[in-house]
Amino acid sequence: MRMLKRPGFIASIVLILIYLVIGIAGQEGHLLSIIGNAMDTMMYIGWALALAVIMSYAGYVSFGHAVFVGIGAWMTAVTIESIMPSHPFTISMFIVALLLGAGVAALVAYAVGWVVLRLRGAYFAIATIGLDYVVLYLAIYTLSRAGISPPLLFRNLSLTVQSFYWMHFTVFVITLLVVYYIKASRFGFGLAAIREDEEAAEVMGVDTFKYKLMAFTLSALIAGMWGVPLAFRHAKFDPQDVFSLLNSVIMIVENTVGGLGTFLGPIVGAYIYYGLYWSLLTKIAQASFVVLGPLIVIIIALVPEGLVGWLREKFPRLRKALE
Amino acid sequence: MAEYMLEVENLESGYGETQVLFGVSLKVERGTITALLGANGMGKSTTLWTIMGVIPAWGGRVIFKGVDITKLPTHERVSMGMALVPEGRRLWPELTVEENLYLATFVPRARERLRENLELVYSLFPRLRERRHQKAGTLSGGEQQMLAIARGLMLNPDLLMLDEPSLGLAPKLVQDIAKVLKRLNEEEGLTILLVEQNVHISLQIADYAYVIEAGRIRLHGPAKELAEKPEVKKAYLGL
Repeated sequence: MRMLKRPGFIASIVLILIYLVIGIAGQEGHLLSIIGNAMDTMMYIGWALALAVIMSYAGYVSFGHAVFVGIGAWMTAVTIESIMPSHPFTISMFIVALLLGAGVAALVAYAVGWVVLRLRGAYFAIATIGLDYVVLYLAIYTLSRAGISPPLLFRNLSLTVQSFYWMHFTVFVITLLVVYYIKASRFGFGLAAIREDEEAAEVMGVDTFKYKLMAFTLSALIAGMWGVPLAFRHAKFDPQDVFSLLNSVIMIVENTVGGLGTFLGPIVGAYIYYGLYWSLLTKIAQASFVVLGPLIVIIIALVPEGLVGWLREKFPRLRKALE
Repeated sequence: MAEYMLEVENLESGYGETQVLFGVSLKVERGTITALLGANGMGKSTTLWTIMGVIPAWGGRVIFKGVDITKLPTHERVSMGMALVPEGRRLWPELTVEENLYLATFVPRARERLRENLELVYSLFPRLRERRHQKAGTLSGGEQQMLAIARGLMLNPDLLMLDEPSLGLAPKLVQDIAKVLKRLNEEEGLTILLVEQNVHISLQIADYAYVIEAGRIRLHGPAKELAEKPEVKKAYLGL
């Protein structure tokens, strides 16, 4: 099991342990704000790793990837309000939402990918933006047919911050392990071959269409899972919020800033993005995006290969550690 | 068992609006080396990419081991035993020699004989064994070409197609590569389709040869006879 001795896997385990400790220590009331930051960072890493599977590993940018987070949130609403409308909160409710959110997101990605992944280049990126808007308006339409004007506020489930935290943590652990496995497997290598040179990959016997379709489906599945803790935490399903193009852009920024093609890149990118966002938000509140946007443009202009990519180039000795 | 490993009938294809092949027909007999010769831009590489299915055929047929594969996706052709060593090698420069060889085995038929084939390519190219932990990108041009051929062999092919393996190599290395191809053909019974600008070396090792010009086959015949034809001598051998 060479895979388990590699830096990416070790980094995953370290991250999992850190967040486990934060979760246990966070039972204390005065640590609540750290719990909030910890949940945010887990979510941003999760988003980044979800998109990484298709964008960073296979080289296909999905511009509307928030659509899958949104589908996850929507399915959480369906679970709470329609499937288990009179149940108090139980673990099984979370599991049903998770299976439904991830499953529907994966199905949608599979169907859309089956059509657009036959085409190369920009078609795919454009198609995913279109998909985001289609599902957004479908969600708004569905809610209004049920006589609800969005957002849909969930009934009171009497959940604590700790339960939100463990929901995030569960999805976080699944994401790290699944994405690391994808990256380190022969499948992941096939994706890298597609990213580097798709024609050469074909000639080497890679079923490029199937690989891309699997990557997109898995990428959507993970993004779909992340819609679930998000919806529980906010106790609502707000289509304009979860399907927002901004969320898609955040995922792309995290991957680009961190560096494409590595496992650690999107994780580092998520911390950088969140660090900037949080420090600006606490100082200048709503103006933060005005500053954040140009700041990210500058970072990408300075290190176009991303931070992890840049470190790998500058310090070849670190290459093995920064997989 | 079909007599021919590969039969290409009236193949037409191109890029976008531009037609490059205007009805190419050729046959590769089992256990032989067949050469497809021609100057730059005549459609040699396009013929190979269309045979591999990376570029779709606009017309005509490709028959491999007696089966019409014209509509088959590339990876299935690889699964059936076709391998292409593309021009410019297209290796994974960041990976070591051995990783390039190991990881090229995406199809089951390649994984079945992984160990045997690794031994085979190391015995064919002892240089690669010496440098197996070195990054592919740091190899010399000749070594990279060896690695590209070796990676093609890791696919465990029945038909190995090579696109300009002599390109940019010193004459001594060209001879080495030619010897290896001849050895593979004679000792392993491998069928080879060799695409080359270097007519001299190709006619030296090939059994049969085709000459392509502007997307059409202009001449063909046993390599020895072709080498004697005045027009071949004049146009391609510089005699």
